[in-house]
This record gives sequence, structure tokens and C-alpha cells, in this order.
Amino acid sequence: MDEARTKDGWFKQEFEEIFGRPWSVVPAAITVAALNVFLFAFDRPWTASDGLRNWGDGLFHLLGIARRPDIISPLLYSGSILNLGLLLGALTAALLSREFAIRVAPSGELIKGGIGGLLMGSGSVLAFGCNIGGFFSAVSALSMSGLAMMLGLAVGAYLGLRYLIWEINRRPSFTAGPSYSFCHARSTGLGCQPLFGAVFLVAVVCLPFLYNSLGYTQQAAFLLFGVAFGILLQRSRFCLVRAFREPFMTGESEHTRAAAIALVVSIVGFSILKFTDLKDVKDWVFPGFWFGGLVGGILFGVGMVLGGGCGAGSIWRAGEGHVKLWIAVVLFAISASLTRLIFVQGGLLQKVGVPIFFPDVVGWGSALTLVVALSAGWYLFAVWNERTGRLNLI
Amino acid sequence: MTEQNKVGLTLDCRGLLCPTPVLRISAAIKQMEVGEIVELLATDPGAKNDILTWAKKANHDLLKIEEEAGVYKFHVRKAG
Repeated sequence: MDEARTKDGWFKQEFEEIFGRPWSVVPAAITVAALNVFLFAFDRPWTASDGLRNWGDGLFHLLGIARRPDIISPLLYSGSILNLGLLLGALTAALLSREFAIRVAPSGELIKGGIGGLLMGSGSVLAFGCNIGGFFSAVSALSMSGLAMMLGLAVGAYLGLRYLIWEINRRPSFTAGPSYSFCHARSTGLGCQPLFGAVFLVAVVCLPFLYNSLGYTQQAAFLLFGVAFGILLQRSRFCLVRAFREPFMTGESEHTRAAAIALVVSIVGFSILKFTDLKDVKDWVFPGFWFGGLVGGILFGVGMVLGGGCGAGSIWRAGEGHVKLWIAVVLFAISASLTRLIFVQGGLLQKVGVPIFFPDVVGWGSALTLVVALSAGWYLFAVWNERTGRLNLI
Repeated sequence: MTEQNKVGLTLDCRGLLCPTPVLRISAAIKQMEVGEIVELLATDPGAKNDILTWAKKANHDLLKIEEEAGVYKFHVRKAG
């Protein structure tokens, strides 16, 4: 009896260690970056936007609005499977940590979620990716378009934050109103959420085996990558929106520092793969320099601050049960699909910029030095601002 | 609750996501007197760390974080 109690105590203690408290942000960010390098080595880098666009394409095809004979099923398309894995991983982690609840925000917030999704969807088409694919993975691939999007994201995050501050001071009623929460965890004890979490954990481990047994081995791996991203992001709450927004808000630098370190890890990994010809140097170098990257980044930056999550952030928070992000995800998918359709049919996609591989301009050594220096500068800027509070808006 | 710890203002941020709870408490506390306590209710799990970090950076005292039925309750005393 006593022994059983001791065992229970030990298990609960270990469980609380992993799921009872948030994981450290910087190690989680470095792990995300390392996984992104592995993902690129395996097939392609991480982005959330192409999978969301695939969902939008699928929806329009299903409704008969736009016939897409070339569409790949969302259950088989790599970007879509990564997103499904992200959603399932975050849902599993939220249940295991008793943080899942269906949370319905006041109507004004839901509207902002929708507007945020629309802006992010169209911005991701212009910049050839969301803040993960168009910025993080693109800069790692030494694409100049990624650098243009980085600048755009900073400008967009600043503008979005200025709007939110204005709204809170001048239109506080917009975020007021009834909100609802369902299926939340019990206040005391473990409750049943960890049990459901364990069931989902078994399911997300079994699903890749199912894909594999059906002959879709590559898809099985994409699903596992997505699940890993979902668990890591939900438990650490590492957030690129915060990395861009926080220096202008409270000045807190943790997420910006984490993003800058993760970027260096990813840049070094991608560069090794490209320099050694394991991957083509032109991979993930998009024709978005400079107009598409910059303007897409601004639109995306405003959208992610209004929406409360970026491409990946919206998906993992949707898995945590935030209805505002469910709306953001759906409208992101619709907007990305529609904008892309309009741009392709109008022949505009080739007019938003040119593809420039940075080493082609300044050489490998200088390109790597400059991009790593930029990340170091971003890190130091965040630390300087945290100490001085120069740019803090609140 | 003692008179000294009496809540002067309650901000209902249930259903609101990052960064709105921090923006709301930051704007509200500016209108309060030193020593007054503001209570914030939130449902976003991210609010735990957000309010903790903000209070630390703004030098306000985070007196309490409680969780009940999916609602996080924060008490912050305005510092001088």
C-alpha cells in the first residue's frame, strides 16, 4: 500500500515536472530550429502557410467554387500534414498539461481573429510564406526575400500593436462582452484531461504507422515532425509574434533572444546542407525580394498581432481550444487560397520581386557573416531595449 | 481579505488572448493610486507568464495567481 503510494507520488512528480510547468523558451526554440534543419535535410523546410493554402484550395474545390484538378489531398500534402501534426501535438500537450478548454472570446475579438487571418493569408502569398516559411526558413536558406519579410514583420508588428493600444484606450468596448469557456480542467487534482491526452498521444504515435502501412512513409515522417513542433510550441509557448512585438511592448527580450539564437542554428544547418550540395542552393529562395517580402511581411505582421498568433501560432493555439484562432486559421486558409488564385491568374506573382540567393551577391563567407551578424544584432538590440526601455509603448 | 489587500478594480479579460490582458492591465494601473490593487481574470494559459513578466518589468507587486475552473485570477498592487 505504502509502496504503491510512493510510486504514485513519484509518477505524479515526474508528470508535473514535464506537464505541470512551462518548458524553457530558449532550449525549445533551439530544438525547433534543429528539427527544421532535419526537416529540410529530409525533404523541405517548415512553413505553415502552404498547408493552410492547401486547406483553402480543398475547401473551394469541395464547394465547387474553384475547380482544382491538380489539388493534392490535405491528408497527403506535406504542408497540410505538418499542420495537422502541429494541431494534434498541441492538443495532446494541452490536454496532458490540463490547459485545454474551448474558449469563446467576445465578438470583437473573434472579428479581430478573422481580420488577422485574412491579412496573414494574403501577406503569406506576397512573401511566399508565413513568418516561418517566408522569414525564418527563407533567411536560413539565405534568401534575400526572407530578409525583406523580416523588416516587414517588424513594421507590421509595430503598427498592429499601435492599433491595439489605441483600441484599448479609445474603444475599450470592442474587446468587452460575454465570453465562454467549456471543457476546462478541474481546479483540483489531475482530472480527466491527462487521460484524454494519453489517448491522443497513443493516436499520434499510431497514425504514422497507419500512413506507413498504406505506403505513405514520407507522410508518416511529416506527421511526426508536426507533432514534435506542436508539443514543443505548446509547452514552451515560444512565439515569433512575441519576438517581433515584445520589444515595442514591455521590452521583455526572452522570445526575441530565443528567435535570434534559433535563427543562427537554422542558418548554420541550412548552409551546411546547401554548401555541401546535399540540397540545391536555390531551394527556398523565393522571388519576393524586395516588394513581396516587405509588403507581405507588413500585412502579415499586422495580422499576426491582431489575430493573436502567426501561421504556426494560430494552429497550435487552435489546438489549445481558442475559438478566435479557429476563425483565424479558417480565414487564413481562405485568404491564402483566394489571393494566390488572383495573383496566378493575373500574372502578378512574378512581378512582386526577384529570387536572390545572398551568396550569389556577396559570396558565401560574407553572406553567412552578415546574416549571423544580423541575428546577433537582433539579439543585442532586444537586450539593450530590455535594459533601457527605449522603444516600450506601454 | 484584509482592508490592506482590498481590490480596487477588476478587469475581466476572460476569452482574451495575448497581448490584450497585459495591455489592459497596463493601461488601467496608470489610472490607479500607488498601493491600490487591481484584479485581472483571464482564461488564456499564456496570461500566467505574461502578467508575471509584465509585473516584474514594471516593478509592480504580483500578490497572487490563482486558478479556478479554467479562470486565472491575478492580484497586482501598484508600486510607486
